[in-house]
Amino acid sequence: MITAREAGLISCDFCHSLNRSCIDESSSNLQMHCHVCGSGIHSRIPNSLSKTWALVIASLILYIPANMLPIMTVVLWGDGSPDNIMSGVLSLLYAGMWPLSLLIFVASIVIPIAKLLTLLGLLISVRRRSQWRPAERTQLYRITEFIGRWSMIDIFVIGILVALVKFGEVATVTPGVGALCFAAVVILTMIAAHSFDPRLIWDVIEEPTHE
Amino acid sequence: MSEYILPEADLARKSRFSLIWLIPLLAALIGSWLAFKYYTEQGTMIVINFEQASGIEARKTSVKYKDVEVGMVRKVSLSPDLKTVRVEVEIYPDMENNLGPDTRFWTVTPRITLRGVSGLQTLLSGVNIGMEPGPAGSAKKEYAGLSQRPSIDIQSPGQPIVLNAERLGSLDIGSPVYYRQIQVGEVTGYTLNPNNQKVDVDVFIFAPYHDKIRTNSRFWNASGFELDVSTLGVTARLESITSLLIGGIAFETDFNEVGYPITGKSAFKLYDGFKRAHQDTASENKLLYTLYFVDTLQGLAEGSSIKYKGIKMGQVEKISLTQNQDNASIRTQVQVAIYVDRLSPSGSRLEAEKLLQALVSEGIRAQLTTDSIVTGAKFIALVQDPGKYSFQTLGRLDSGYDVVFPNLAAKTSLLNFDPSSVTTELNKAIRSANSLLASGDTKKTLKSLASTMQSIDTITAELSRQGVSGEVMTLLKEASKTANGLTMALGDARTTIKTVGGVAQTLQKDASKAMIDARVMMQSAGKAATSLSGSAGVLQKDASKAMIDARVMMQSAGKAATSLSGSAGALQKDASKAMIDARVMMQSAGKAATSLSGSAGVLQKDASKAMIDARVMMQSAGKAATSLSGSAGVLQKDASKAMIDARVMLQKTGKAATSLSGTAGVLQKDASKAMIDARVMMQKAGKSVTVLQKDASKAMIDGRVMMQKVGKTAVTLQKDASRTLWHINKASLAIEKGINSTMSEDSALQYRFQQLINDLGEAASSFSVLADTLQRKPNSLILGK
Repeated sequence: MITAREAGLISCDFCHSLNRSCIDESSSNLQMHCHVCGSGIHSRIPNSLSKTWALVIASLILYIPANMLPIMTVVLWGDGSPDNIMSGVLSLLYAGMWPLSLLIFVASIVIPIAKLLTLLGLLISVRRRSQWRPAERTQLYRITEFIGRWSMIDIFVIGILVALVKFGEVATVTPGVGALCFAAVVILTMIAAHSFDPRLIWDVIEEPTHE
Repeated sequence: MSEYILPEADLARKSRFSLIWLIPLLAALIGSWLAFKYYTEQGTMIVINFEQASGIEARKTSVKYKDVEVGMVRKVSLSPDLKTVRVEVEIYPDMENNLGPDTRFWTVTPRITLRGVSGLQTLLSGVNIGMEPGPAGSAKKEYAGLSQRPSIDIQSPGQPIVLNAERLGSLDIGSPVYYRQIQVGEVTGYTLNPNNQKVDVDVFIFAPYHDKIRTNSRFWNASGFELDVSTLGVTARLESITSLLIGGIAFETDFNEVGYPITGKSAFKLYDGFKRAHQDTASENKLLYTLYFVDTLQGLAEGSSIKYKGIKMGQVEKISLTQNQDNASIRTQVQVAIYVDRLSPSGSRLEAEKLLQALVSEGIRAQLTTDSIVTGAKFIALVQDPGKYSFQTLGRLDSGYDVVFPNLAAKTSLLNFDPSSVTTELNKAIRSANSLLASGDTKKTLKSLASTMQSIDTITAELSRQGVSGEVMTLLKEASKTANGLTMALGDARTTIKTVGGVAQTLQKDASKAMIDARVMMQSAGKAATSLSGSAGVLQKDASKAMIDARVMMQSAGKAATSLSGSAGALQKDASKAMIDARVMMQSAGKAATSLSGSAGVLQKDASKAMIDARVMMQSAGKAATSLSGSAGVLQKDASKAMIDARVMLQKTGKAATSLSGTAGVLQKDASKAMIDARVMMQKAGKSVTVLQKDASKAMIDGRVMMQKVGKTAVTLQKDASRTLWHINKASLAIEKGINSTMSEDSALQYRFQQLINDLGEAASSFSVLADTLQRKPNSLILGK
């Protein structure tokens, strides 16, 4: 099996036309452009690992305030206190709404954590040039990228509630700083997942044949 | 392997620096900023101890100052001894500098009181903690929480004071304090004083009204509605509707009296009511004396007044019974207080004692006097001993013993007359009449009469058997008829006596009615006299004032111009003329009064009618007096006005002295006229009172005379009855004799029988006439024929 890179070919990400590679990307300081559409092309996403690392680290940093600070305050009949994610989940659970509680728990806690851990694992495995189960790792990446957007459901709910529920002392929803941080975490992990180049997983497999 | 000719990619220079690392940097910045913010925004933690954590929840209940959130409850826990609730509160940084040693916290709950509704917003939002920063100072770690909002800002200017009350009444925290019906303060709290078992009411008076409090200010409980009913009329006091509902305090300061501004938190006495507060004006400074009365103290109560010439000098403090040491009997002891300031304007006890001693030396004695005939209330009057009085010395009050004030026995008034004595006499008379009827003699007479009848019957039978002539038979029959008539006459006598008894009872009733009427009349007379004397006293005062003024003016006038003495003499002549006029007026008034009393005398004949008329007369006399006093008052007013004018004139110019002194003379004249009028009025009133009294006593005497007459009549009746019985006895004897003699002499017997029948007929007719007269005119017994 031969890879496009080995064949000296580069597919344009934008218009999908094939270009022939004319330089060694890793050593050259030149940037190749698609001869059809003119967008920048590369056989591997440049600085993919460092980009991903940067975003993942940023996400990890923001994940702390996202979970510590209140994301939302629901005041119902004058009664209500600021809730962070976990306390919200717990209060829903105590209220007997366990399916909803489970949904939020999965969407707001399990998925972001799983995503961050997956990305970290992938990054470390690529750095360590691991050859372990590349196909499964690729699938994991695909799932991660697909499912990541669903974490935004919390943010959407907050956004809608804040906009709709404004009845003074009777019922009011106010967003907290935690919501912003959480939104940042979700977006950053999405970008991180996007900036990760899954082809890097396979490059390790390719290299021994190269040598 | 097929070869594709692919175009080569274009080449351009790559940027070396990756901006992607700015993102984690930014994230780190944001994170660290949040952390920094968290730490800097963390406020001071304090602990507030509440009695109850009613509605306080951790991380939900906020601390608010002027409705701005300045803190948040972090933790609610119980104190180790389970007595209080420890509420850990975070006070936000922007407020923590305002925490002071006297910062107060309270729970804000919805409250609906009579004064209004507060904390309604907490109905939905739940309890929050209110805060009052208080004066600046170093913050404490722990504060005591209040259950409700303190009504007074510590920082607001004003003066806190303490009032000592016997009872709290309807006062509550927030009850208003009024000064001349303006709310000037509030009750801020109350506690039971453990030392004297009274209630300490904390009151805060707002600036600038706290200047109105002096050491002589008097506070009273203005809760509710004060109604004062007295002889002066009905007076009602109501501070405000609010105080009616939630209670309140009012105070007053007499700035004419000596009083000093208070410094610091002073204590005052809280009186029960306005009247109490004012009566007790000088009671702080009073002289205590003890009185021992022989008279009954019925109608005298603690608080009854002591009057000297109608002016209240003091009051009865205590009435008790004490054992007489020498003869082990029990007597009444009355402890009285005499106000020092009534005797000595400067309030000197020594001076007051001296004056009182002087009065006692001149024969002033205490005497129980009836205040109101209606209620029977009494007061203690200080009166001049009419008889010979022995010199008495009052002991010094500071000797430590009870000082006994000398007293007189109460006057026996007409009202003390007891109609029951008359009744007893009357009853006795009737009883004796009854006993006479029921006596053995009467019965015997009746029996003998009956036996006479029987013997006559037997004689008749015997005679008819022996064949005596028809004439004798008819005679004998007539004799038996006569005997029957006699028994009938006796029965009549009995009924007559009964009727007499009934009449006597009616008379008794009438007499007692008359007594009541007399009393009522006396009461109204007394009332009228009191009111008259009151107005007269006022007039007298005014007049004397006017006189003094006039004199002062006269003196200044004399200084200004001595040459005016001649004209003054002329004025004096005028004055004497005026006096003569006044006297003439007085005489005419006296005449009128005499004529009135004359007519009253005429009316006296019919007792009840006369009484009613007398009352009417009294009323009209009173009216006349009132109108007189009114005119006198008007006169007085005019006089005083004129005096003021005159004074102004004097001050302005000395040249006008001549005319001024003239005016002064006229004024004097007027004043003396007014005086004379007042006196005339007084005299009239006195006269009419005495006339009425006389009338009443006359009526009483008449009543007594009537009673006596009734008694006499009863006795006469008794005598008549016994005489009649005697006659009957005689008659029966005569009949027996007659029957005996019938056997021998016919004509003599016939004649005697005829005589006897005539006698009996006369007696019977006189009885029946008497009975008829009595039945027709029961009064005739009293009035005579």
